[in-house]
Amino acid sequence: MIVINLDVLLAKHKTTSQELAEYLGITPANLSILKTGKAKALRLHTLNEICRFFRCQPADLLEYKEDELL
Amino acid sequence: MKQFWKPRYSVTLTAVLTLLAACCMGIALVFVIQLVVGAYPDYVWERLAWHYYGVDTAYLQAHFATMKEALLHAVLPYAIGILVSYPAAVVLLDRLVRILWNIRKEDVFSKGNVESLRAMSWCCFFAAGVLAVAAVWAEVDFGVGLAGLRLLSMTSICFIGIAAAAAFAGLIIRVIKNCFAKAVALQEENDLTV
Repeated sequence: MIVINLDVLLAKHKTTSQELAEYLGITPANLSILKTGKAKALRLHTLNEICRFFRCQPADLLEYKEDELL
Repeated sequence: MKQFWKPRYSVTLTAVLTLLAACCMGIALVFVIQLVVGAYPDYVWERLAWHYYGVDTAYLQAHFATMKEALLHAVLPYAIGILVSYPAAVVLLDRLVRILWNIRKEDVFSKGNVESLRAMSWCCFFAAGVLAVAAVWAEVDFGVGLAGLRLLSMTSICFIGIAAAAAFAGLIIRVIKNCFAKAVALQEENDLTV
């Protein structure tokens, strides 16, 4: 599964999600969906803006974790 | 040109039509119950006997009691058919109102609405089955016992027609339900895309 390390990036850059939401032009509720891992899809545009905000690579945000086999 | 019709009136019109349907259902129920409990005066039965058997008035008057009994027996399957399928109509109307209510709340593509559509389609199928069985029952019951009778009465033809219409309505609602389920999935995907 894909894990979105948004809270890690936010902590590292000492910014609030409110600030990021304002920068991205999305509602805090939508950003919360992204942060809590409920999101089903991430627009390339949003990814681009997040990378621009943090001056990082997509790999810093996204991480692939091996799914647990049941 | 001034525009008289606005899209937001559409839901209101549907609500008014639903209310009208509910009123019609109420009236129909009153009629059927009156029929079953024998609340109708004799001239109604005379008229009915004349329609069913086409006998002359003198014969009718002489055998009125027997004929009324036979007619009451004859219309019973139809009345029971309507009464048994009545709950389905009530459930259908209730679900319809719920969907309308949800549309008013801007909650169109929800799981609840899909569930309502599913229930509505099954109600249609149930009513269709009951009405068809009632018509067949009436024909079988009626046809053997009485002489000089048209084999397929107009009432039975109407009942079969209504049953077919209900079955088709159920089918259409089912297809719409399938579309709705797909739309709900799309809506969810869209809501969870950031």
